[in-house]
Amino acid sequence: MATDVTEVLAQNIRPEWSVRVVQPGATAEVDLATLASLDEPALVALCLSGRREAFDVIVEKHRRAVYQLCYRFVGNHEDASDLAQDAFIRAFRGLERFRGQSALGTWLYRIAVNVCLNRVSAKQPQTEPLDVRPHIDQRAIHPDSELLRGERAEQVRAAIAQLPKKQRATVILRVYHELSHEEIAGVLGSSVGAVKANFFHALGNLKKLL
Amino acid sequence: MTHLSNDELLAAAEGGDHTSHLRTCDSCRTRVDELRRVLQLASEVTVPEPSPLFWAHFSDRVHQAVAAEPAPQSSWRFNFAWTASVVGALAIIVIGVAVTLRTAQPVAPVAPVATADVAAAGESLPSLSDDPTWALMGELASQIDWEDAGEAGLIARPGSAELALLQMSADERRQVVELLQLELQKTKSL
Ligand SMILES: [Zn+2]
Repeated sequence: MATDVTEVLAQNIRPEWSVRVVQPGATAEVDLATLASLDEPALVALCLSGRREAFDVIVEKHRRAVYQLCYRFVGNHEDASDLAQDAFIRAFRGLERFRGQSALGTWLYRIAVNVCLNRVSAKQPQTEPLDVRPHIDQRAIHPDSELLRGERAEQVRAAIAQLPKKQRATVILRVYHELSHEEIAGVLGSSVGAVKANFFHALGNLKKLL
Repeated sequence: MTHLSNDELLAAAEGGDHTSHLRTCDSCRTRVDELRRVLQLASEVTVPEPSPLFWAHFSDRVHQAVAAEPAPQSSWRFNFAWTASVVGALAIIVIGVAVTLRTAQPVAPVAPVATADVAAAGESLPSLSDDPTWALMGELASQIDWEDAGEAGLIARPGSAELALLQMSADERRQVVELLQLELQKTKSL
């Protein structure tokens, strides 16, 4: 039920554009395939106009990254799944605050990091001692063995879990989500200098633990 | 010799900066190598992939939770506030102006890029041929504050559809409105 003014417009304004006017009541035409093709500001705008199905598309695009971010914080599937869900619900509630000044993904990270940090604060004492774990004797195991890689990964995971929370957040965002120092500053609400200092000290702490 | 600062050591470990200093300074090279080793170790840690069923289940859970939420408030600063006074018993009007950049193919899919609901006091949806509705749409299109639209998060990026709308000159926007009005006239004469 759309009035197509494409041709008139093409002749009158810019040939490379097509414009369609969708009449009231015809918006059900915006199907999932069309939604999936929209870029993020358009999806956010649709959500804000009451089209909640646009949020499904946002969730689908970002669920893995948000889940993985949460998993990095808590180290288990159940909690990561709950935290990721919580992050998306908070994002929906706060969608009007998304101004497009950062990528939607970065904005979602900010929410997810806050959700995770709150959970971590609630579950653990604020300052956890950095407990140096014994080294695995790597010479005893073939360097390529699954066992070594698995053990080493576990060791690194445990070491990251012991970092003070801002350092942990910085390592996670930088190493695994490849955010720039500037983007991390935006996510954590701190300065770029503080992010770099945090990251440097985090690596130093990890070095002591590994 | 002045050694590298912490920031510089980090930059060297992450991006290979300060190579000339590192060539001549064992102390800094050792520290950078240590940072690189830790970065390498950390980067090897992966997150176990949940079962494929998990993602659909996860989306479902979020969908249901979101369905139970009140609608988020639109912060679009399109100048819609005045419409309530202009049109008394307006229910909901949806404007979808769809713009896509055409590719080499003559027919490009059309994607809606700017959809705004205007809700005011009132009960029933206007019918499709309702003149005031169409007239209002033309009015709305002419009243959109394009500068504010940009500020409100409708960011123009090269190649994106909304770029087309936002980069229109005033004259082009006027032409779009005229086209809309032309369509209104057509609808009226049907
Ligand atoms: Zn040096």
